[in-house]
Amino acid sequence: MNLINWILPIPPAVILFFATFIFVKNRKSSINVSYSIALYSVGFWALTHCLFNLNNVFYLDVQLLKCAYFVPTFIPLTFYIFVRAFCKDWPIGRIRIILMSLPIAIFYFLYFYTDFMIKDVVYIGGEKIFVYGRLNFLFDLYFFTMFFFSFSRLFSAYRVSEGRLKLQIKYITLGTFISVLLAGVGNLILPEFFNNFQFVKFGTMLSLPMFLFITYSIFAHNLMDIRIVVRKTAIYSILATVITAAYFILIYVMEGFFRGFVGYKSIPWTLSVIVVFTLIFQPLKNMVQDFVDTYFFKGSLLHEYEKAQDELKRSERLKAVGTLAAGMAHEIKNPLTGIKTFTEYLGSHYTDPSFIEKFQKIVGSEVTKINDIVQQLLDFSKPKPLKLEQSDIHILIDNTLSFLSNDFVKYNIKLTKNYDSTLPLLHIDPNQIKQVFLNLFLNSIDAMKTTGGTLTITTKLQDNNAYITIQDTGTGISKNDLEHVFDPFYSTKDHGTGLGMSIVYGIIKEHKGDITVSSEAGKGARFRVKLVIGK
Amino acid sequence: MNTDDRKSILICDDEEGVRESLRLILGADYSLSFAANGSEALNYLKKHNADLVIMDIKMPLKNGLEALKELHNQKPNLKVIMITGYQSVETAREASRYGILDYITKPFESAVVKEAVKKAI
Repeated sequence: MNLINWILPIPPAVILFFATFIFVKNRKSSINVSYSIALYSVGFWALTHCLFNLNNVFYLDVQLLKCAYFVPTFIPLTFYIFVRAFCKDWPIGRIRIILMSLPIAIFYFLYFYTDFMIKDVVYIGGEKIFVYGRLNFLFDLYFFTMFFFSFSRLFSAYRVSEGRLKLQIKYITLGTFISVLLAGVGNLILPEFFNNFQFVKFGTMLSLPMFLFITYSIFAHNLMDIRIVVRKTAIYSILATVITAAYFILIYVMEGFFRGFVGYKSIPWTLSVIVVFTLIFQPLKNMVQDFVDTYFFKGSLLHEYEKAQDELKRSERLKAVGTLAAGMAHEIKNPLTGIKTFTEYLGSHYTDPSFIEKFQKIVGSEVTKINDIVQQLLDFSKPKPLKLEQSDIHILIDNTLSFLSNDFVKYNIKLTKNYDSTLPLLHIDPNQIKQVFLNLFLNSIDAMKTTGGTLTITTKLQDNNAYITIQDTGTGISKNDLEHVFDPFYSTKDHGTGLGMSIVYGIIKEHKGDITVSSEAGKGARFRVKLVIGK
Repeated sequence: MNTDDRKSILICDDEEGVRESLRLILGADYSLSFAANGSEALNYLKKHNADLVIMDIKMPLKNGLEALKELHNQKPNLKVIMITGYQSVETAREASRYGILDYITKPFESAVVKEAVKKAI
């Protein structure tokens, strides 16, 4: 059997496997469903293509070839449906897909059943040559028109989208465009002009790069790491083309050469050459990668990704500044109100002893409040330098808890401690870490004030890090608030400055540690502090 | 219970400085009552009447917006002026649904407060 016939079953097997995998992974996602259907179209196309090439029964050739052209009718359609699902235009139901596909399927089934598209298959020199009908351009027209609509939709979505989504659309378009162009030209355009054009055999291979990498991006959807997906889509598309062309040349040239040189036992020689070719795959891949990075994207890919990340950070920072300004405004304007009104009335009331008494009390306390706020802000913006010393974290936690023992009794809060006795001394600033725990405990107490509950403190030694988990059974934090927990002045409480958690975050980061939070409204909150062990 | 003929105002703010400021500005012309949070204001209004409520938005236990919502359900015709340190569009939109008459921003001018109250009652 020809070597190419061994390669041909690979694309349908791989694509159909991925189609099933994506479908099973998340049947509820319209993106997954529509994409797996598009993949099935490509997979069955590759399968019929493979069967046609492997078939030795003469009278089945035409029928199989007709199938091999009929099945891909669904590729542009299902890709279009995927694009609309990806752009969130409409929810994709299976019924809608069937309703859309059915008329097209019937039309093209009749179209292929006649001789308008595929007329015959003839054998010339042992090769199967297609004889196209008079109206075969109708299929080409449909194929490119549908892809034109898909790309137009992606393009318009690209124009109005921002940030990460913009990049996703850009690179899905890019990855698909390369494959559609190569597959379209290789399978449809060139065979139009060269009837014995054998490249069509490799057509199904060209669909692999696109679908493999868009598939990967679907798993990650939301989630997809654009840098990798995109660069690899581009690299592998080019690489697949280069390798397919190289194999094509090698096999035909080598077969001809060895056949003339060593007789008909040429396959082992051809295989040896292919092994050598495979060995140079890695350097070739690196060359293509360098080439793509340097000339194709001119380094813009990474740059754009970083730019999008920067924009995101900048907008987050601006939001944080906005929250900070709003918080400052509220905290300072309250005491300013008292000061302003009392000074306004001083002129007319300075002989009234009760006014003077109130003036001293109110203005004095309001000035102290403003001073406290400014001090907290200074502490937040310029944290005090760390005074590191070897400290027992359990003693620090217990000391902090003892400050709050009255509150635990008052609000009916039960305390549970799960301390890991293997935890060594930590190289930390004990006073600042105490402040961290104080703020976290106060937060938990606040959350359990009305209902009571349990505060569980767990310590654990893991991977040379100390993990301290503080879990409460209080009101919890809503999904919206969760991402702003550590933002300065972001507070859902009606008291306090909203600086506590951002100070906690700052102190932990100063210690080269980490703090994470997980919660659900009504189900309590869980803060996990990571501190590095050792100096 | 108000025994004089003056119009009655309930002032609801958690800050003593703000309450005392409003007492200074309005005390001579109106009969004033005070509440330190939304719950206190609601309790007071269950037993007493007020011609006007001046209420802060950000307060402990029950904030101004929550109290306003309940007040609006209980007494749809009650006149309310909100006071706030920082007025966001969302808060204004939310508050306007409950028929508030005016906004006063902190720190306020005594003339502005007097004018707003005079217009309201």
